[in-house]
Amino acid sequence: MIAALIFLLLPLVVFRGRLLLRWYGFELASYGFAFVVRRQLTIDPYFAVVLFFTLKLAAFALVLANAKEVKWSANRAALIAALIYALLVPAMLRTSIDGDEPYYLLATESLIHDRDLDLANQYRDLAHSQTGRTDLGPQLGDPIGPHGERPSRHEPFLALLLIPGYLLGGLRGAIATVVLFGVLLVRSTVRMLEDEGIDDGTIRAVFPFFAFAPPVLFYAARIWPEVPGAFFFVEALRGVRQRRPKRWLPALLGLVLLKLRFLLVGAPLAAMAFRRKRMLLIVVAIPAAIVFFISGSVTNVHHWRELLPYAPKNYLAGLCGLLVDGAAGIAFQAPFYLLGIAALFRWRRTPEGFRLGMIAAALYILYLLPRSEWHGGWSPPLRYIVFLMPVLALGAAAMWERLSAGVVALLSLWTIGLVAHGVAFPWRLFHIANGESEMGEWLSMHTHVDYSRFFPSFIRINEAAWIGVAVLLVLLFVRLRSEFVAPLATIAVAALAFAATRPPTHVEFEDAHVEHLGGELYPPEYTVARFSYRGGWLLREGEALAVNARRGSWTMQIRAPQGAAIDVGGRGYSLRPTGEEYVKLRVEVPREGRVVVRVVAGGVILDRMDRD
Amino acid sequence: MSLPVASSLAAAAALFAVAPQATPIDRALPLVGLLLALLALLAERWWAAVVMALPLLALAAISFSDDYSRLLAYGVITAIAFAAALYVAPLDRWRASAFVIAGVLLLRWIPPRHVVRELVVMAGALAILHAFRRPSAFAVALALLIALFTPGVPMRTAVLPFLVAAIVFVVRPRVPAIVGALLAALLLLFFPWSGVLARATPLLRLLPRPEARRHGVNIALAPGESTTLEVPWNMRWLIVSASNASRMKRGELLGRIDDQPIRIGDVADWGARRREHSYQSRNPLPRDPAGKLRAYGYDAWIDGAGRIALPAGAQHITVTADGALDKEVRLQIEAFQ
Repeated sequence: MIAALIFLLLPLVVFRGRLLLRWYGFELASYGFAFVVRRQLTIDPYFAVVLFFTLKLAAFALVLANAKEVKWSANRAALIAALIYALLVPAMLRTSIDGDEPYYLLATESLIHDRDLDLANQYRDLAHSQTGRTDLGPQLGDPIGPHGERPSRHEPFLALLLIPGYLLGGLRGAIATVVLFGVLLVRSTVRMLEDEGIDDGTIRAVFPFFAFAPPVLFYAARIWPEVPGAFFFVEALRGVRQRRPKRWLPALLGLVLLKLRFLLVGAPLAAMAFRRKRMLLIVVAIPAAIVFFISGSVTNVHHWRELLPYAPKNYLAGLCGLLVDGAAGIAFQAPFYLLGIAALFRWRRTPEGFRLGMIAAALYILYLLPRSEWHGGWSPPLRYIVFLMPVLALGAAAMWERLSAGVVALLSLWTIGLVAHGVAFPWRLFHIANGESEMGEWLSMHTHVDYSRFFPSFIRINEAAWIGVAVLLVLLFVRLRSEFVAPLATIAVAALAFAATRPPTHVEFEDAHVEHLGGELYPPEYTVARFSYRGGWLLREGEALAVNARRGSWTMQIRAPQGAAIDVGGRGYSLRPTGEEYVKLRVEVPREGRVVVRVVAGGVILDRMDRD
Repeated sequence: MSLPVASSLAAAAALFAVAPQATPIDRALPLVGLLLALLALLAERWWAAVVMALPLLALAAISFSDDYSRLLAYGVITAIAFAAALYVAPLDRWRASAFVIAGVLLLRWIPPRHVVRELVVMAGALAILHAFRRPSAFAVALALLIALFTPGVPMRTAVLPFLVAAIVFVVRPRVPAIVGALLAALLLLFFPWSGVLARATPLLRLLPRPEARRHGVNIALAPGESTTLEVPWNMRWLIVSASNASRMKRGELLGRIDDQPIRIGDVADWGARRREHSYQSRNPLPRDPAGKLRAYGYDAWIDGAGRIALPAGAQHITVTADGALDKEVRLQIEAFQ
């Protein structure tokens, strides 16, 4: 009902005249169609409702981009964003807040109730916390004070910003504060696009891809510093471009106070803005002093060693992963921003704000790429580069004219799918980063065919990863004509279906296509930084799993701490105790098709199996 | 051949490769894709958006393993693409005719049967369109609506669209395009089961129901015959239909369960809603229908089985076929549920 009401209000913000009447005609028609479809559905009704309103939002965006009878300004854009984000809060709160969110909220509660940042008493009394989580404890690497204090490792500025909202409305009030930043971010980004000479029509076309698409949408109603950080970054950029220190200096301070890692963005930007370089110290010294005051260390939980270079392959994996990884890359999780990446190749023709933003962020990106958590860890996708999205949107807007309608249609469809899925199932935004992606998992689970192998992964590098990089490079340099998009997409799906009929030559036992007939995920799902472990599936005596495999010899990577006996497709194998080591076990798959692996005695952790 | 036409053909060919062969609708997926691709061409500047229905159809084909969900996905995608193209296309008589032909093909020609009759119905639908002063989305939708609900068997029923065309020619209604688009979408939503939509609309609600647990009986009683059945544990209904009873009218007695009468209206003739028999059948739809979907497309129909509540706590029941029934009529006890 609330969604229907908000969708009645939306057109009032921007449409007028006959367009407004025609839109309301469409409103009625869409509800009529939905009424009939609803009675026939067998899918999750909540998902159906979310998909319906996502499609309506897409239709609204389509009309907004193409109609003439439109009233448009940055403030109107912000108002539209506010209406949609208001719907997002209850949707995101279908499950408890997750990842770093509860820790920020605990810090807010500690500031309000105890006037300190020591969370020790908060952990002891979680029942009275608005987090809704009773399973919280200090995070790995949280500092310990001289008297046993347990402050959070997270910078306290966001917790501080949440206080007024929290006092007004508890958890929802705190989230509303982030929503407010989201609305301000939308307004500032639209203003930045205007300032950089992007025409109104293009801004209206680009605006929904920025405001109502991942990753901004999925962070706009969650307690992470990413959206406030993006707002401060845009404001800083605008301030620098307008040579207004009163705008950019506080914005930059806000950015760095939110997260110390943003110093790698703030410092270069300040260096470019200041005529007197010693003023740069303000941007560096003030946050460092505050952090030192709180945590007792200028670098908080980080260490100077983190600034040393990593192995080159780590940079390559991080870069390619951020671009094409199926679970955490731009191409799959926020494909609109590929246009921003494409703009990098037309550097001189891009707006100055884009170049400034990208140069400012270069050092930060360079330090992000080689880190093992480049994909964001336990968070919605693209976490670490959310702050950069307004700049990439500016680059995308500069590329918009060159884009064929077919590509826009494909981007729109993919984005609609991402939004509907993420809003309907917010818990699925958090992925265990095991090398699969949501789409691959979904297809695999329904068919018991390994579809995940066709989605590029740089978390667990597969063949599709390099093919994905090659395809992306082609797409970045070749201008795809409208006429080719739909056939290519259809042929791609057909090729996917055809390739899926062949059993894989490599099996990861924790994957969704494996039929788990007992046992459990190893290490467990909520293990901190699980992605840094060698994952697998734990089977005890009598438990089994089944996979589709080709006939022939395979090498299994297996661990049996106390030794075990297993049966693979009717043939027995025994294992001596391996301790904590994984060993290779040659097994024979007697025939192509479904093969059952059963533990006859002992217990094993099955990692993977490769065809010889 | 222009590039858009060639690419449309390529996409339709890809659908041929991806479509499962489970139902006639799956097998017709390349045709569906081709029609949508060609209609997309009529949408001119919105071509690129409408033609994206093709990859979506392909995705639906591989994503849903159960027939009903997959076919409903085809229906939803087709309906939205068709209605969107119809709404945005600059309609002239030729374009509107193309929409009518494509729509009738989707609704009535899967699978193709009775070609001559179908061509007459198609001509009637085009006559409706051309009876309007100016082609419009509503004109197309009305032509599709009448074409769908024209039985075609017997041949004399094919006159219905021409009658409607005559009325339209006199009345010349003007209706907003959005209404036409909505109507077209609602019709095409059910194209995988268009036969059910045309001949037993209220039974569409049976399609998404999961198959209930049944205990088969499979006995046909001739007039005057009776049988005593043990009621299996936890069974609450008897599923009954009739055979050779399509000319019987509402309320006519078929038989009894103990003392409880079974009448036409509680159940119907098993095959009364078949394409060839529906028009001549006098049976109403069962009050509590329990029929199963038989066939797809315009051949789709739901059998006339009805669900009759068993007496509370009954261990045994006696079912008797009424002695006054015609000698060909049978009372069919299908199952307990």
